[in-house]
Amino acid sequence: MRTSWTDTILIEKYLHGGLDPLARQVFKARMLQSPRLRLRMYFQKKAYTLVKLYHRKKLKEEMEILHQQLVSDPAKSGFQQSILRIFQ
Amino acid sequence: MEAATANIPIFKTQASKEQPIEELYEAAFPNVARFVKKMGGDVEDAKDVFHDALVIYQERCDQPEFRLQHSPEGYLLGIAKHLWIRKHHQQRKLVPLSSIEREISLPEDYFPSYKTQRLLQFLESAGQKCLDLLRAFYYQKQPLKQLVKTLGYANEHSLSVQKYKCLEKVRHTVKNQSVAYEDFLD
Repeated sequence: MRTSWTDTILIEKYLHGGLDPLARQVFKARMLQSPRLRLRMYFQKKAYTLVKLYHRKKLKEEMEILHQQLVSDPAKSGFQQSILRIFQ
Repeated sequence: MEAATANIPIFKTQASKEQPIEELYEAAFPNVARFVKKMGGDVEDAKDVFHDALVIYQERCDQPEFRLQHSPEGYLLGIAKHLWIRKHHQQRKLVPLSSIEREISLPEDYFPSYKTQRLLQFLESAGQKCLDLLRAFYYQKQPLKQLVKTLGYANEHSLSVQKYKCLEKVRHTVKNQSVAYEDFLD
């Protein structure tokens, strides 16, 4: 298995609490000695952040679809009227 | 990538297991709309702030340690008030908050910089399928076996391999784009 691949898995386990105490210590020691590994971890954390932002963006798109369904469904006229009254 | 990621059911979070999102939407949106109207906003403002509040609410409900101190509707209104203060740069004293609402905080990373948003756009254009896979894996809370079936993979191993390939792809892209989007790297 490639080093990069192994590191990707190890970094994920390290960040998400999936390493046992000994493996965690070994990994931390490797990080102290390896600027490359530290850099990989740094960018992997950024990758998770971007996935989270993407998830939020998609959720908002899905909520927009739900909103459009609620304001156009004849069965939801009570909801539609209540919103109309608020913004009259 | 070996399989499409379309047709993932929406709102697969802990919160939606407890109360269907449509039900919560109908119950909570009018309260937020009334607040936004009172603050001088329109229906689009109300929708925008409410959708952000729903995202934050769902994230909170997915945290194992989270205990809801309000009704879901009250909590959503509280988040919406904080979002309004933040988005419209209004002083807290101009927006009435109950003592429980004052304890609500917004996620620190909820307002990404312009450059971070640009980086996300770049990633979406360069590898949306990977983002969809990673999103499904980390956020849509489906059991692995079900995810294998939903996403059309042969087995859990092939899904796991693809997940790490995607993670590496995003990581490499972030690294390669880091000069252009340097403020993301603070």
